[in-house]
Amino acid sequence: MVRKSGTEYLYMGTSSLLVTALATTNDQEANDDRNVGFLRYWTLSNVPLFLLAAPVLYFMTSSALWTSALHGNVSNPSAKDSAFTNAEPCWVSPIGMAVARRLAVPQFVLGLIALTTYHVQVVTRISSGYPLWYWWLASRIVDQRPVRLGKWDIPMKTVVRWMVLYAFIQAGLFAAFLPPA
Amino acid sequence: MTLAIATRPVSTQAMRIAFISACLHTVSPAGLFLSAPYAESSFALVNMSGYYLYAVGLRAHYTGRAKLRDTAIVLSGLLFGVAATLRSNGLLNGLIFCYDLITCFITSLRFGDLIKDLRKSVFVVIAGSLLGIGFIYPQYLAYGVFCYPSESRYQRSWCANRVPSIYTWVQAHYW
Repeated sequence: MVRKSGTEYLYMGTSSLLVTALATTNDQEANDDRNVGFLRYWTLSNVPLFLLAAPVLYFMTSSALWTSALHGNVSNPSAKDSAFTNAEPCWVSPIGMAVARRLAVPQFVLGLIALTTYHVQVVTRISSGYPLWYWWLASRIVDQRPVRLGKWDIPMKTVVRWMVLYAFIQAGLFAAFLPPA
Repeated sequence: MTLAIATRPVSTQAMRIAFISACLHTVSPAGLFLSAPYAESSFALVNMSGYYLYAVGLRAHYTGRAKLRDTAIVLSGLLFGVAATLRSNGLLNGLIFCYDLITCFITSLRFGDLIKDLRKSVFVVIAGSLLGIGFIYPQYLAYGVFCYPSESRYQRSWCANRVPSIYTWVQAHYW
């Protein structure tokens, strides 16, 4: 299992680099105009936007890394689809863990590209189509485990409140044609 | 869709998680964009349906039902193609198929069951191609409209790029 997650990281890294390389355009003038391009968005005036996008980026990377920590025995396909009998019964079946691992790749790469190349606040919008981080949050809600951020424990109530609040804030800012769109 | 990756028989915990995930999506930070006529909600629908079919296909692979696996994976590729047409970040779902191909290649090198793996890989490649077509099709249309000069239109500046993609140019120029 450890070797598998190692190759997964390698795969994520190379694929994200490739996609970033392909996503940049030739037209240097157009690039300079609008601050899109590798690391071009990382200016001091854009720091608040990075702060706005930071929670979602954290969720997306955490959920992607969560999949690599899921235990199970996928290499044995004849094993029935049952919860693995260990200390903590996991709601995800072994095959489901394989699915989740695969789903982690586009989500992680998206987060990485959004961080480096896109206007980063867009990630709060486009992350709505990717289910993995919802599962991660939901399983933490059901287990009543808070999100750990270094020393701090952020309870799930706060997370959900932030999600609802940000939906409204983003709506207001977008209607006023301000950046976080 | 959550239940597709959950244990069998489905535990109550899994059903709770499915319900809570659905609720989280409803109150997601992209709130406005899911309610207003943007592509986000349709993209979410098609993307998640694609993932669901992919999960069904992978489960069928491990339970040995090859036909179900093949149809499910090709259908998921089709749905991902629609998703890529709706939002271009749908193209990243192709990485799932690449992951499959790589793991398939590695296991076939190790265990040597080449024919079965080749058959599976063919369908994965078909699915990935459907996805790629969904991504390239709008750009192909745009190329047809903007890049053939006539008396009334001039050729746009991005037509001569290495990869004449309208997406990258619009991102750079208008964003």
